[in-house]
Amino acid sequence: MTAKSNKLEVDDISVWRGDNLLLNEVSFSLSPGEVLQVQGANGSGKTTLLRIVCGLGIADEGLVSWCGNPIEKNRDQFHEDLLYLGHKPGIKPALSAIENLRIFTLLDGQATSPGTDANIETALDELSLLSKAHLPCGALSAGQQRRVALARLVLQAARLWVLDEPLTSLDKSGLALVEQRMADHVRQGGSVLLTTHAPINIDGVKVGTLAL
Amino acid sequence: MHSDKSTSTVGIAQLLKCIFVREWSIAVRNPGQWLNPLLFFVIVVSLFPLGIGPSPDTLETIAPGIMWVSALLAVLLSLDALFNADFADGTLEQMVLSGQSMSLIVLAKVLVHWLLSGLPLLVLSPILGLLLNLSLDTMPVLMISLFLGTLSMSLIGAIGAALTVGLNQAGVLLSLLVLPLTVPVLIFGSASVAAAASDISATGPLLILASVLILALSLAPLATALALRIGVSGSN
Repeated sequence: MTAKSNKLEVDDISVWRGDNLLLNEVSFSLSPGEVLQVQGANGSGKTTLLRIVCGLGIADEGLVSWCGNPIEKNRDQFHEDLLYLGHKPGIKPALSAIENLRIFTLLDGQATSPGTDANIETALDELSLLSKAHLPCGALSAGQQRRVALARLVLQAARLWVLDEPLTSLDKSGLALVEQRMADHVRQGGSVLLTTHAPINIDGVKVGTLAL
Repeated sequence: MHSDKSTSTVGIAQLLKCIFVREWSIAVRNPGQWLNPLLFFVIVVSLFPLGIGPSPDTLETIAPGIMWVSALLAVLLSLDALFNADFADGTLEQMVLSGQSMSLIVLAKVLVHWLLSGLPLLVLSPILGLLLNLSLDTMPVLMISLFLGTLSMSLIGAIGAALTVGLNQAGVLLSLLVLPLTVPVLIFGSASVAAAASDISATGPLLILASVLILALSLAPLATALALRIGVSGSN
């Protein structure tokens, strides 16, 4: 499996919404070490495209492949390599940041060990949330909740990141952290597909763009 | 960081335990979610003696039916919350995308749901049974039948809850989907209590309830997981 490169290929994705052709034969590929920013106006189908790439949405035509295999044929393998952060990050207001993140480390395929909580605390520290680690997330601000979700970028080792507007409600230092984390990820051979309206600068990496 | 990715298969026990602890913490902090159906059960059962009159013979005859219909409706009432909160905040998407077994996740969620909605009914049923003039001898059968029945109803109901996930005002649709499937449970559940109340052996209906439970345990999580996959991918 590792012999084949972790390449994401998207071929001729088309999606109809009623009589309206939302995505018209969208194709691109993403190799390890690459970052691709999807650009487009509101309602141009960015989220729809990202959900299709993850296997959450269904395209009317076209094919998404990972490591050369169509994703629906090899879903478990693909989902292990994938980290998707959508508009709704799956943060429970009733649970604290640590409690919220515990399940994600497990869902991401890392067995719980005595070190899990320590890892989570390190990640939260990196996002300057350690002092809020035991507060219910409902008591945090929108930006802080976004940071809790982004702690997963620090915690886990997925090869492909699909990030839908990850910078929403983040401040400048948050933006810098995410850029730094993406740079590390890309340097280690990961790849990133993201949508954002803000320009992003990643050290030493050329950010490709795809206009919808 | 990429090299230290441990074996991808997380132990089943660990997955169950983690989801269990998580669901439990959420439920304990949102008591309304599971207290409402329980209160509904208590209120409905205790209104019947007031409405029908205190004649012990009448009450004893209709007691099994009342207990069982109320339990069924209480479980139905609690089903709506099973997946909708997870759907609304995106947790469900993450679960579907995790590469972990969705059926196991579903099973853990349903078990916690039963512990909070079915088990309290079970514990309260002898007291409410006394209110309906059920004899003490029938209480073990009442509790065993409710144990088998409410767990089956939670499992079967999860399929309906998964099919209606993300729909607005899905309560009525959910009832229409789930009620026909739970009718056998209702029939054999109240039959077992009625048999015990008239001093006949209740083994037959109880065994049928047990087999329904085994069937539901083995098939319902699979069906629910599939329905959730469809529900999540259908929404945008």
